[in-house]
Amino acid sequence: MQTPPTYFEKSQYIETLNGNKVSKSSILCGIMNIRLHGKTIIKPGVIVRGDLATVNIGRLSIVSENTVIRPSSKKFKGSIVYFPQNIGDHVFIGEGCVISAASIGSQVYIGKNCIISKRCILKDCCIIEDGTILPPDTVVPPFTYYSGVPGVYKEDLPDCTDVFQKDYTTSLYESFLPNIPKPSTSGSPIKPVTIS
Amino acid sequence: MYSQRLENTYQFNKNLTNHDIIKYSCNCGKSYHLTELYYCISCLKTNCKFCITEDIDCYYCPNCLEHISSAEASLNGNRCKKCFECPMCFNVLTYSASTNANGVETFFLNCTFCKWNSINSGEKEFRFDSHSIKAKNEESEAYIQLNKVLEIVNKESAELSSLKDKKTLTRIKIAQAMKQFLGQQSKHQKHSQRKNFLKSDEQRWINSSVPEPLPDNNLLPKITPGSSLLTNANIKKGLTPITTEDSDKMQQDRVQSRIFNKIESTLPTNENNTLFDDAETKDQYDDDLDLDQLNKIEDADEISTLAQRLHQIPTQSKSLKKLEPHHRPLLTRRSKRCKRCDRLLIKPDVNPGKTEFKRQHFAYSYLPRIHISKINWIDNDLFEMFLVFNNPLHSHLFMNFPMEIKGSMISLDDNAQLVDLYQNETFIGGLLDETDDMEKEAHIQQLKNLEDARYFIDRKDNRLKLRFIGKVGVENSVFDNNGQDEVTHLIIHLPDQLLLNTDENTINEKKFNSKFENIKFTICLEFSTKSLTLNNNNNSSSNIASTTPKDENDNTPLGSSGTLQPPSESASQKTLLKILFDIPSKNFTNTQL
Repeated sequence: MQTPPTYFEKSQYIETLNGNKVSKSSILCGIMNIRLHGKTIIKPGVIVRGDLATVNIGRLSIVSENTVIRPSSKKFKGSIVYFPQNIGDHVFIGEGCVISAASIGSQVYIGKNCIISKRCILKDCCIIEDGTILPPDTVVPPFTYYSGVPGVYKEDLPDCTDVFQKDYTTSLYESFLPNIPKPSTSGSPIKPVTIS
Repeated sequence: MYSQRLENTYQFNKNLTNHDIIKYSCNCGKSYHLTELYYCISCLKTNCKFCITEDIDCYYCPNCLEHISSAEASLNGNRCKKCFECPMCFNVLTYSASTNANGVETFFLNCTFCKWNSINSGEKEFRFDSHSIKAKNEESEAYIQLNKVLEIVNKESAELSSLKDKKTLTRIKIAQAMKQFLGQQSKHQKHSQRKNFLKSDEQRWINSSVPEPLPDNNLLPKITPGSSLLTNANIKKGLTPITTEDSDKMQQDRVQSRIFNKIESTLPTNENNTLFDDAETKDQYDDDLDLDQLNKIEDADEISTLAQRLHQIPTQSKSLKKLEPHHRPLLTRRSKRCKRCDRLLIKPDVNPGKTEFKRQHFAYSYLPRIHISKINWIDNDLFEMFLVFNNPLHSHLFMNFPMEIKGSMISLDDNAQLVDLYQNETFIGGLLDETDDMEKEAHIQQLKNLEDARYFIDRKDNRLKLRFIGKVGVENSVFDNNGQDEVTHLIIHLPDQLLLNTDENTINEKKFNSKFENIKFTICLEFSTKSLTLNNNNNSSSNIASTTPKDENDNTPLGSSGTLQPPSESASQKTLLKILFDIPSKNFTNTQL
């Protein structure tokens, strides 16, 4: 089945020249350090902690509602050092995740309510199932499916995952359209989360 | 041949419910989601997981992502030398160092998830150099037992290979399979063994170019081309099963090689079997029966789970304290070949961190991708469906919907069928507008003019939206020929008065009841990058191969793919594709729920 397009209120989103769509109810801390490479959607309630370290998010990536993106840290000579965080192209991050990975490759799918702990490295083309908790320093190799608490290798992915994921995120971006044609399809507004 | 809907292989496809709706049939009749299929460009057919052969290209550790040679992998039992797995939660362990009061630094393994560490666990210090672990494993009971069985199997296969009649060949195969399963060999051995395995069945049609439609099954009688399956000679030749006597003898040999521990002298033992009587009384081998020890356990948390025990093959300890970390098992990169013509379908990069392929023939990037944009009832038992066809290729794709095919038009457990579809040839544009020759251009224009608005809804770039009308219930003629279970013709009985919406977006207020919970039907489709009807002689060579010229030098060490050229007639350049739909009735826009 083709996914029906989702519509958003135009006044609630900021659209940049290179196609980024950032919700006004998302919280981007340290906006100077956050770089979106274009055609990225940031949904309401997302927190990006750019004040800790630089955050790079690649093209055609989608960050869903209420996810926290927070650069990872390490104690080094008594003080805490934050590492810059890189998220690749065609990455889908589900709702309610906490992402503190050191780097996330391209064509990665992260399900709902996942916790990607400090200094994890997610390589290209991998899938993290809904509700997975990846312990610190985990490496997820390409073409693998990780799930469980703690997240462990479950099985391989089909070889065409990268093509599929590219197609998937592109279609999600293209079906994320401004303005609401019918009042019935409007989604319920999501409460923004505030940092305590 | 009937096509059959099968459960998707990968968890990733099982979780996405949408991936059960549309399945593509492989040539062998099994159908899966598009992402699980491959497409062989020399046979122009799809390959499912049963129609490919796999070879391990490289081993790598999933944690340190280090490429490990097959010799080294088999030496370490397909495990990484450096990385350890937590015995409790199977997470990767990290190395930590601690300094005690005397200033002596000790290194230990530490789990960042469940806080297990190698200092507090067990009575004595865990030594994590690979040598001591290996020695410990080799001392263990299970390892000795395994080695004894392996020895017997080796002996058996050596004995058998000296005999060369039909019956022993089957036994050799089983023995070799056991050997391959139990022990590790070098890559070279494996390759030659694979060749031997394949000789009787696969090699035959590599040379004869008769495609084998069914995946290889040793239990099925083999047909030599040009002869019938049901001649007496063939029945005799084909079925040489090993008797129970044979298998019992093989079994017995293996049993005798092992020494079973006496469980309990008070328990009734098998007195007929004199073999066990002379065995000395030893410690209990199976501690399931050790009730005394089990009763001593006060805290149930001290007992290991089944998963934890299965990760500890040498000890299989029931106590958590005795669990030890193990080296992390390796993962592999595998290349895949077509079973029909042995052409490489997938050749991965040997660098474990990379995701590019040296050779990639996914069905996903060759076959038209299909989505259902909308499906709704227009009458009782009649539905209309809007399908979006996406062309993943850079060149134009020509396709038609045949009314008659060799094989079956419907699939197993279909409960509906199409009654109205566009019968002419049509096309989908490529990703890039490559207008390479005038003749093709003219032909496309011609096809465009013929288009009927009844079927054609929308055409844009590389996508095409078509309307189909289907009917619940399969035509009676299917049930007439009970013996001949193949429906090769599509029968169209479309009611004369039919209200068709000209606009897709008009909402039909009327609700209909659905007879079935899921509506299942099949669409047959033929496609080619060359026009299916147009006969242009001057560029008969510009077929699919021209779009991917690099595949010409695809010849691999096995080499036999070179002899198998795609058929020269343009008529056979097309691929027949069966698309199996299984649509839950709740997905229809106007079903009475």
